[in-house]
Amino acid sequence: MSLPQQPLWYKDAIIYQLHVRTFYDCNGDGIGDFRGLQQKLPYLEELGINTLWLLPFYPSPLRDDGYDIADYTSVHSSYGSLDDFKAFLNAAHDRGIRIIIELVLNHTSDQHPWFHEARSSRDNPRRDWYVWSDTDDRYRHASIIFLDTELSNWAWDPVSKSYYWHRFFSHQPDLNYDNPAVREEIWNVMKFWLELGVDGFRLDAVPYLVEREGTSCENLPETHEVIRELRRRLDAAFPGKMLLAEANLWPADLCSYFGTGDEFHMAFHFPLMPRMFMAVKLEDRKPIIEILQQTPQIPDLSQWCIFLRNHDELTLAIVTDAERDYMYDEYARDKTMRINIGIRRRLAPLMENDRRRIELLNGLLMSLPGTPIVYYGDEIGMGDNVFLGDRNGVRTPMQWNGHWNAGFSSADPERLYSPLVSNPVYGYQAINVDSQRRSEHSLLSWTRRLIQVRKSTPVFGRGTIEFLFPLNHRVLAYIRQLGNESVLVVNNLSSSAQAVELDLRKYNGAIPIEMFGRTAFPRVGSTPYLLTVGPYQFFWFRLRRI
Amino acid sequence: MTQESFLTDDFLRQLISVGEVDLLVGITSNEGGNTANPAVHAAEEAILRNFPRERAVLINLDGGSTGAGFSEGEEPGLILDEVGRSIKSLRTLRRISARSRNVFTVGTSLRTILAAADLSCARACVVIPASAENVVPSWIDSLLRPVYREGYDFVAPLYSRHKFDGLLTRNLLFPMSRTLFGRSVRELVPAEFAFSGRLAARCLAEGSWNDEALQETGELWMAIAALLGDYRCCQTFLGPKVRASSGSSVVSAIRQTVNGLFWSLDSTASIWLNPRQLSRVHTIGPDQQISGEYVRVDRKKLLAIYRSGIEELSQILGSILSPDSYAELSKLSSADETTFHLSNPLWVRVVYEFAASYHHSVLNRDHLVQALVPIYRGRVASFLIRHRVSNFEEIHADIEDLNQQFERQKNWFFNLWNMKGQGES
Repeated sequence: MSLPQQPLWYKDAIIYQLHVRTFYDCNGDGIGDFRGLQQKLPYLEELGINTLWLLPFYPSPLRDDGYDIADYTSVHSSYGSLDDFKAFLNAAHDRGIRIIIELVLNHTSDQHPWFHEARSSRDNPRRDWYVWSDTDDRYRHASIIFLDTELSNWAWDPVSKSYYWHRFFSHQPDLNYDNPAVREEIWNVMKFWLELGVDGFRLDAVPYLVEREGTSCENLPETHEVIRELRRRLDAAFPGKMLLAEANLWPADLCSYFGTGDEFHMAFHFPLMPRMFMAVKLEDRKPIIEILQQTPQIPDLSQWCIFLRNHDELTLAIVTDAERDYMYDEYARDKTMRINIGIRRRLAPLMENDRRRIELLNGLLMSLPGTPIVYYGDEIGMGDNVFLGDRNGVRTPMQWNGHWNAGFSSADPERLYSPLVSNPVYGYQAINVDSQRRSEHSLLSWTRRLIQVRKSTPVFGRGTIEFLFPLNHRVLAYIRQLGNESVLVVNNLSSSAQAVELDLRKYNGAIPIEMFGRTAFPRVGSTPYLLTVGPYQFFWFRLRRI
Repeated sequence: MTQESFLTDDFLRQLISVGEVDLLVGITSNEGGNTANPAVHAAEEAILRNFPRERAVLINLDGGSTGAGFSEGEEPGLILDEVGRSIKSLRTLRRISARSRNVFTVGTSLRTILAAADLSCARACVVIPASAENVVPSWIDSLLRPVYREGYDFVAPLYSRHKFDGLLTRNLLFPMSRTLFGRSVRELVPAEFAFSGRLAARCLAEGSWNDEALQETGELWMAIAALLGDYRCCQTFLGPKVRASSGSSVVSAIRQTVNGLFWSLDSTASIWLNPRQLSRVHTIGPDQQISGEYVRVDRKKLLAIYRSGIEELSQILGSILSPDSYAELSKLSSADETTFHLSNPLWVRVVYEFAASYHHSVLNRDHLVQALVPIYRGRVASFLIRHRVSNFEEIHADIEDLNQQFERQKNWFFNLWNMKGQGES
């Protein structure tokens, strides 16, 4: 079953991100699966999200958490079968939940049959599906991304006695997008999933698709052409479907991936994310305003995707050196918490389990321009385990209740794909869905209410933003506007109560209605509008002219 | 009962918006200060470069304002480092103004800054006059850093000076305060200085802000409060000090500083009359430097003023000084330039007698302090004659001897001070 056509659905989406493996294990093998996920759809519907983004679930040797795909048109046996996926997809659609799946365009696993064929002989028809060279000195201007593990972007293949190109791990050979057959096959892959009914793709590592000598081999015009071609075919054959770009770039560079509305529908606003954390720690609106002011206008049909945390580290690649040092000092003083150029921690531990700050950040996430993404478990304040290696500490099993394996699986605990978080503060006995369901004041209940209020108006997903500049820099205030609807958002970024005077003369005569309690506040006049805001408190006011 | 606040509603509104800060920079001006002022730029650069993570506010105290000053919401620009990279604070550098069409006295400025420091919970504050001509960012850093990073409560500046510059400091303020307070700070009336929020709160609470002496020499009163209050004090070397082109006259300098010192002695006597061991105040950088800057002084004119002063003020001086002291000063009037020498022992005795008479209010205190002016001119003339060709070491030895004289006559001064005198009930 497909959901009704709503061309701009992605602008109104509340996306929930998860890995099938982490959510619910239905068959008791210690690994989450599609049947388990399907069982938990009522929970997601109740939470209020309307879109799910699934991390890679394809057959894979899992040397890069599934981003090393060995078969693009199937499901990893640990997570179930293709039929399980179809059943899940239909069940999700029945509940009005759209499904975005992950697609890794740039490379495959070295275990993919295409690569086996390509390396088998230089004459093989699939030889040219990858990028080969007799020497390892081509494309020298391209940087090495995984400096910790890779010495070169070229790897020697002893089978075909030549080098193959890989921008990521050496077990992930890059596909050759100069080859029309590759482009055709990737489109076939997309078509396969679209015909099943998926609603969109999150395309991984898009800046690296094409290589050219003398360049950084990133963000090349030829790469954009590949994207445009995919978009043309998508729009023609599957209108209403969506492409989301993963490109960790500064906003001005990232904007090129929207093209003129003919490339991606959505792209992650990577630089905003660390700056939300920075602003709260600094108790100063500057980082957020600065980055949003640097963000160019995007085409009307395009949309930013914004997030607080995800399956990766809190990346600090798009910040200045001084900002990076500050973030490390404030959020990851213990070096175990650091990985690559970032911090491998979940939202609640980053906020020191301070409910007020967690709420404030979620308030920002839901009210700044863009489509928000909630990372699984953050709605209940799950913790992390920085001792698990790589980013696995933020990928632990979902904590459903305080019983056996947190209600995640009936397997013996030793069989779980990952240990549960079990410390006294964030462990599943303390933090779990069942216990939070019982309280109207739990973080889960609060998050549900937040999503509900967010969804009560399209202004947050589609409206413009206009910053107010009150003298008090601890207060971040802005107006979201769509048509006749105006919402005033006031965030106190500081740990102490603040008084703020807002210049609302444009809204003279309007009555601010606080959106959570539907309480009317004094009418806006011609003089500065005085508000007092508690520590880390935020207000959303609908400015009504009655 | 409500009491009218000395802070204007507008300034208070700005302060509330600023909220809590780590660093506060007060820039005082009575000439319609503006954002193009070099002191403002130096402060901004110092904060951006050296304290990028700290919450900071620049306060422009704009006396005699014609409406200039910081614009609301105006943000300082970026600065470039040596390799041309832009440097900026992680936070908003807040800039606010307290403006008045009236001239701000030193006391009003200081009180406003102390109140701002108290309300904004500032940990370290620095005061810079907008008229300071050669303030550089490193000055701000040198003054703020000891307070913010090392826990000092009061940081006085040290400058590189010409050997004939700062003579009132060398001949009176420094040696007298060193002797009586037991701690030596060379610049007791600092133009630029830094202090902690802790000291600011105490001074704000304890200052007799309506008193004229405090209004005129608030910084001196604060320095003394720090020295006597067992606060952690230090001095930091800033470099050469360019003399303000429109410097105040000797008369007004003495009126302000000596009056301020004597007034402070009066209000703190219960502390300094108790014997204190002389302790060194930590100095960051060289203790003092003599620069080659040329200072032109007319010795003949100084001597002429001395002679006429001794003669014209004989009656007043007679009620202030002991007969012996006055007799010696009178005798000196007849000496010519080659033999004129107002010795260290005599000078110290005269100063102590003035201080005691001030305490005993033998006559109007303002007139009393003004009567010191001709004698001070004589002392300066004597100093210039004696040290015309002296090097730094010779001057230093002489100042050290002066210090010893102050020390030797201290107990005698204490007795003089404690004697019930005229004007006392």
